Amino acid sequence: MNDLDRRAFLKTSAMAAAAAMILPHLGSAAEGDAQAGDGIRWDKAPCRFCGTGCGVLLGAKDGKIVAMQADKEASVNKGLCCVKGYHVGLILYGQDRLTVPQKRVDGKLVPISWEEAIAIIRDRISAAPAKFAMYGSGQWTIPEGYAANKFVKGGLGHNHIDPNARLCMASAAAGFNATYGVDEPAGCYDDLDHCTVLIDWGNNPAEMHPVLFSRVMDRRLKGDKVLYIDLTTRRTRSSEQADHVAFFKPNTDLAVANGIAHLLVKAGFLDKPWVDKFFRLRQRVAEYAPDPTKRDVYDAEAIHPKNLIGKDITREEYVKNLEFYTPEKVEEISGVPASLIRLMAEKMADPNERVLSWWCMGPNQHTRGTAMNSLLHSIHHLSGQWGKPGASAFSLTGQPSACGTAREVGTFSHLLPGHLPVLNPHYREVTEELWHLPKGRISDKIGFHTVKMWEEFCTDGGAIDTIWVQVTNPGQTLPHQNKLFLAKKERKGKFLIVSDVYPTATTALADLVLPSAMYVEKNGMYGNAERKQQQWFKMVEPPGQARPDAWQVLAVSKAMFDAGFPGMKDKDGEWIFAKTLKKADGSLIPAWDFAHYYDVNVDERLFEEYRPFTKIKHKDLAPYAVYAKAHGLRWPVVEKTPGNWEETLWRFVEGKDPYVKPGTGLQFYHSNTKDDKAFIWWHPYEAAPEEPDAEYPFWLCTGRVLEHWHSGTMTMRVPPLQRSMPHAYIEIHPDDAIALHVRSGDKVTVESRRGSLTLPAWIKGRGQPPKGSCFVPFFDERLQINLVTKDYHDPFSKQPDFKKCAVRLRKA
Amino acid sequence: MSISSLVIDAATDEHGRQALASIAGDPRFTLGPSYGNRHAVVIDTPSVAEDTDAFAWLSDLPGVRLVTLVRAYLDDEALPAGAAANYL
Amino acid sequence: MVVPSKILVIGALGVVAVALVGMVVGFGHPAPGWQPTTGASSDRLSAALPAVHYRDMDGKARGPNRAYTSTLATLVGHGPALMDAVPFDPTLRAEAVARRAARRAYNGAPPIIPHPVDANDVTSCYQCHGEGKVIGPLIAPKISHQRYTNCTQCHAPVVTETPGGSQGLVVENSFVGAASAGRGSRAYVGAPPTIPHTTSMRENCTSCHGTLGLTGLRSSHPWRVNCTQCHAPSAVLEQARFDDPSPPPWAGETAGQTTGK
Repeated sequence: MNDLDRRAFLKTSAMAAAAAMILPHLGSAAEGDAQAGDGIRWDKAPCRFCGTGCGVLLGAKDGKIVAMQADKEASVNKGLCCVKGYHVGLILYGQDRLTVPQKRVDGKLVPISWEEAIAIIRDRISAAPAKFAMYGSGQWTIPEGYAANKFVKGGLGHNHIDPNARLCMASAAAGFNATYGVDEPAGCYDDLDHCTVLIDWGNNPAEMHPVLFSRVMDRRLKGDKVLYIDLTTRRTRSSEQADHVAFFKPNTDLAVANGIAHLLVKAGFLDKPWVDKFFRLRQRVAEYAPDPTKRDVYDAEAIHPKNLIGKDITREEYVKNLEFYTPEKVEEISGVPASLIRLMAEKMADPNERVLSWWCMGPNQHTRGTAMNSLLHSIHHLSGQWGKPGASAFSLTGQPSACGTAREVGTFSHLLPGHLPVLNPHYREVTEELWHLPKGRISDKIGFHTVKMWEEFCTDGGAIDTIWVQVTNPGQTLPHQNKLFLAKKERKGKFLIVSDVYPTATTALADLVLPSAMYVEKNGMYGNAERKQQQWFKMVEPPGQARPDAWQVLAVSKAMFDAGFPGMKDKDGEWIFAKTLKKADGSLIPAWDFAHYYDVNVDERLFEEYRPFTKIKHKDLAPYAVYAKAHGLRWPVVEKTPGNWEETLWRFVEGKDPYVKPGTGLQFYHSNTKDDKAFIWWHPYEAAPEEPDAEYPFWLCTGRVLEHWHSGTMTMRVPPLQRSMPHAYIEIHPDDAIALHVRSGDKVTVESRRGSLTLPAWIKGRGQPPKGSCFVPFFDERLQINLVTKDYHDPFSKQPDFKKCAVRLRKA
Repeated sequence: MSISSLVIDAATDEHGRQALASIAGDPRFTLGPSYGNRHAVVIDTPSVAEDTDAFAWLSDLPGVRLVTLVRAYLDDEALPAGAAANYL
Repeated sequence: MVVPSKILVIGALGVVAVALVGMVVGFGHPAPGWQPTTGASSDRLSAALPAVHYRDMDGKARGPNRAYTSTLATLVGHGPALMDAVPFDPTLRAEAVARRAARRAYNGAPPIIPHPVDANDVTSCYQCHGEGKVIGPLIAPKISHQRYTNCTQCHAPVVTETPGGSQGLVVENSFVGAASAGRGSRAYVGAPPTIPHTTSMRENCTSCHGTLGLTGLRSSHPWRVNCTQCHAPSAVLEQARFDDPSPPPWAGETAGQTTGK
């Protein structure tokens, strides 16, 4: 052992010793004499974080959350959480909670009363309702999102409301709609218990969906054989457990899917009986080949049914289109070995295997996201790896209620509650009917999608001059921050209202900040990625004057009604939420007055009003009281016998889905072509709109880490999580690091055509990108990678691509 | 060779920032992770005397409110082969 | 069991060494009583290892050198024997409880990892924690629950892996976790006490109460294996009685009345 080495070792251990001392110990209260369980009231709630939807039990004592357990009765996680879930109660207790409404005066936020805050919003919206937009999230509870949706679409008569889910799973939704005519997965997490082959398509479930990842991987400990194939753009923790890991070049996942389809076709799968019986071959309409660099063309193209559902192609055309994608050709394009493409095709072709594909942001945050999602469904249709437990194509989500609130409640700018397209005059009428509104109140124009909304807001004279943000942090999560958010600073007459729980990058530019109650400080309901609704009751009081987001919307709506704003009246001239809040005797519960908000369960009132919408597209939800008892139920939830509400595990499958006619086998009863058939799509591989070149030679990918959730507003305030992962970093391949003269810990500047950021390098760290690419997580509000990302988006879903753009690196 | 582990409590004002900057610029010291105003520091010097000097210098630095010694390896001799293992 | 085939026997030794060194380094105090080793093992040190830059050692490069691999056997010790008398006094128990509390956000939380880890290698945890190990004066407790493949899913290292940079956003958190519930109740003097905590994720009683448990928590009769034969778990804690008979006032008009699933 030489001297240098010994010295380095001693220094490392010395540093570790010092480092261990700076960290304060985690403090539990002093041990008392209390008997077990005494004084702690346990209640159920879904986890506040990702779309997995784990069941958690939270223990409250003396008005504070003091402990958590994983819910053993939750079918999702069966008594196991991840490190975020086990610490979810701590998110309530960060010391900088927002507790009073604040208004910006001469650049500084000063406390004001709720009355004044509500009056400011009322006046601002009433002055120019058409220039107002609402920006919400997949973290809105179902009743909150429903109230906001009704407030904008029913009250203001336009559709400028969009959730941050636009940045997250809009492409998944568009892919489902394009393929099945109706949104959301047919399968569920039970597929994880039955699959024999599992394929990652550009996701890292070991960190992003750890509970679901363990659910599969732990089967191996019990002796089950699961072949795990990781198709990825960088080596991750998931790769460590995979049997096969293949790195594909960014954007070439379409080529890989086509390669599999090519081999299936060669193996005669077009002749399989199910292909003709249940599916149609399909491709996009020829005249519509969008170029995302041409934004004006993009914006002219709304989510038009004609473009979304494409057109039939003949079997010969389909075969001819795929001819090009031989395994060798695909290897050349993507870098995935031809042998692995053959292996995947063989596994899919084998009727004894149960192949499950799962994906999350890789295929979604993609300028060909809708196409990629459609192709993933299609290879499962073609191969017959569909509709059997374990054989499925499953889209994971990132937010706790991206499905429940963004997609089902229809808080997108093109949807009405129940995932009903706003372009359909029948659905507008149905909605006006259910909301008791005069005919024509609901606008027939699609509202601004997220990117467009913020672009207009950040443009002088743009169509939007006021945005109300709830439950999300666009100041950190929008792409191309300089253009879509920070530009607000220089614009005149723009007004930003933010309801949040902590100071964020968004409140930093807000003109009005409203303190919100969060998580178990209010009643709530979320819908997870497998169509499961989970309800919880308020367990503790919010701090200071923090109040629920749904109350805030009701209060503004009532204030506008009182001031005579015509849109807030229904067709009888009553307040649009009057029917929601009437007692049996006809009197109105004054829930807009916060002192009376909990006189009734407002959540239940809003939810029961929403329920009729859910039946229209067979997303039937059970009564609120059923969810209060159950540990979550997957829709459609149908009352089989009186009082007996049954959930549905697999949709469109005879014997599993109550809406499938006996004798049909599979029935896609919302088919785009009205013939009970789903689609097998063909889409070409096309290069990404921005690829590395001589000037910007590296690919940049962004994403998450296990310990933090999205922009880190909550998890960065949880000491065990913050300490474990205190700041963002850039992962670079060791060879690139040598060329850049960069060691682990050195600062690197990553720069694109849109912005730059300097942050420490982590070589051979938790993940390792291939040569010529780099990775930066987006959780750190002080090191915002979205200064660098681009805002190009998918033409159908309007979801931006955070996963790839061209950058250059230099040692800082 | 002498190597010491320390935790310093730096002031949160300009003095504190200057102190951290001068520590960072001094080859005898390596600044480690920090939590709030507490910073991990390692002193690496060839001899015990120099280690003591470095400690004293650090303690006197304006902007450093407290220096806590976590542990020290003080030795004027080169280590015998394999000894590092036993050090633990 | 998922063991990537790339891990050979020699690799596994290295893994033990990584885990050991990580643990010992992480605890941050020297282990007294170590005798220098001499003889064959040091001969293998003749080939100099490449120098590693200090900054690189902060991350994955921290780890064993050949000295550790060759002296590993001497590091591993033995705990008390099964039939040894178990000291008990309330101070020892209080100390043990305080030590547990320091590593958990609340009673029942998955403990943090007090040492640096190679988080990408799923097998390394089990090298020490699979059956529990004594390493000098330190104890790597046996895992208290069934094996899972993804340890860092629930347990976060308290010392970050990430190199460089500042500490990031630091906000104080006022959460006060539930304390250990204290001792179980006894029906009468001399009766076996009930289990005062949930057994969820603590199915393996020997993890804390066996011979390698902290003094003060150790069982006086570790040779008896069927613990719940005499010690009753709590229905409340075991989630066996979840539904609260009285819904909260804000539960609404129908909640608590409809008979659902």
